[in-house]
Amino acid sequence: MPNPKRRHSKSRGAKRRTHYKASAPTVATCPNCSSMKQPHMVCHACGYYNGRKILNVD
Amino acid sequence: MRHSVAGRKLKRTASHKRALMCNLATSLFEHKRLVTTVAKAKELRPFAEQLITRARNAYNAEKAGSVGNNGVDFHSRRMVGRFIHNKAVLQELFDTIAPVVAERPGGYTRITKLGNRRGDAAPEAMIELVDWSNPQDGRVSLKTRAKAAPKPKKAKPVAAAAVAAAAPAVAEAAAPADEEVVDTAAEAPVVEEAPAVEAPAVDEAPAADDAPAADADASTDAAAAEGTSAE
Ligand SMILES: [Zn+2]
Repeated sequence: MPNPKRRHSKSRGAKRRTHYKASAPTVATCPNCSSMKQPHMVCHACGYYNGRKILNVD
Repeated sequence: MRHSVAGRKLKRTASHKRALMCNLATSLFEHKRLVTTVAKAKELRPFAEQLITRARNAYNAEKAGSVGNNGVDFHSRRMVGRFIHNKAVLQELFDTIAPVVAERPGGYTRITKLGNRRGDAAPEAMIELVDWSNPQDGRVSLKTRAKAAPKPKKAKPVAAAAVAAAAPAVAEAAAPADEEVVDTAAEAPVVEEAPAVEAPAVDEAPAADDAPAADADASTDAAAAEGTSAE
C-alpha cells in the first residue's frame, strides 16, 4: 500500500484549513412581522410567507 | 455524461422513484397539502399537475357532454388510476378536485420553503393545492404587491358584480372590505373568507387569487397540525 513519504506537520494542515469558514446566512426582513428571516422562506417568527399563513407559530 | 438530463434521481431506482411519486401524489390529493423535502416537492409538482390536468380535462369533457359511456370518461380515470391506486382518492381527484380547478390553466400547486429539517438539515417545503390554501391575509412585500397590483383593477368589477348578484345585501359590507384587503393586504382572515364563501366566483378575483374553498378553516387546522409536526 502507498504511504506518505514525509511527516505532515500540524502547521501545514492548519494552514490548509484557514479557508474552512462558516458563512453567515443571508437575512431579509419579514414584511408581515418585521423580524429577520431567510429570503424565499417561511418566517419562523410569525409563520407567514407572501401574506399567507403557512406554519402555526406560538 | 448526464449533461442536461432533466429530473432528479432522488437516490432511487426508476421503479422506486415512480412508486414514491405515486404515493406522494396520492397523499397530496387526499390531504391537499404535505410537507416533504424541497427536492421531492419539486419532482412531485409536474407529476401531480399532469394527473390533475387529466382529471380536469375529463371533467370539462363530461360537462360538455362530449364523452360516451353515460357521460363518464372511464379512459381518463383508468390512465390516472395507473398512478393513483387508492380508489377513494381517485374519486376525490375526479369528483372534488377537478370541478374546483376546472377553470385554472395549470399551476394547481404551490411550493413554500420551510427551512432545514432538524436532524439531517434537509431543506423542507410544503406543497399544497392552491385552491385549498390559506387566504392571503398577511402583509406582502412592496415588490410582490407592485407585481400583483395590475391584476386587481381588471377583475375587480367582475368580482364585485358577482358578489352583488349573489347577495346584494352582503355586497355592501363585503365589497369595501375586499377593497381594503387589496390596498393594505393586511386584513384579518375572516374578512377575506366572507366574500369567498358567499360567491364562489371570487375564484377569478385577484385579491384572493387562489380563492380559498369553503373549507379554508379546515385546511388551516391541517396546516397548523402538519406545520407543527414539521418543526
Ligand atoms: Zn414574520
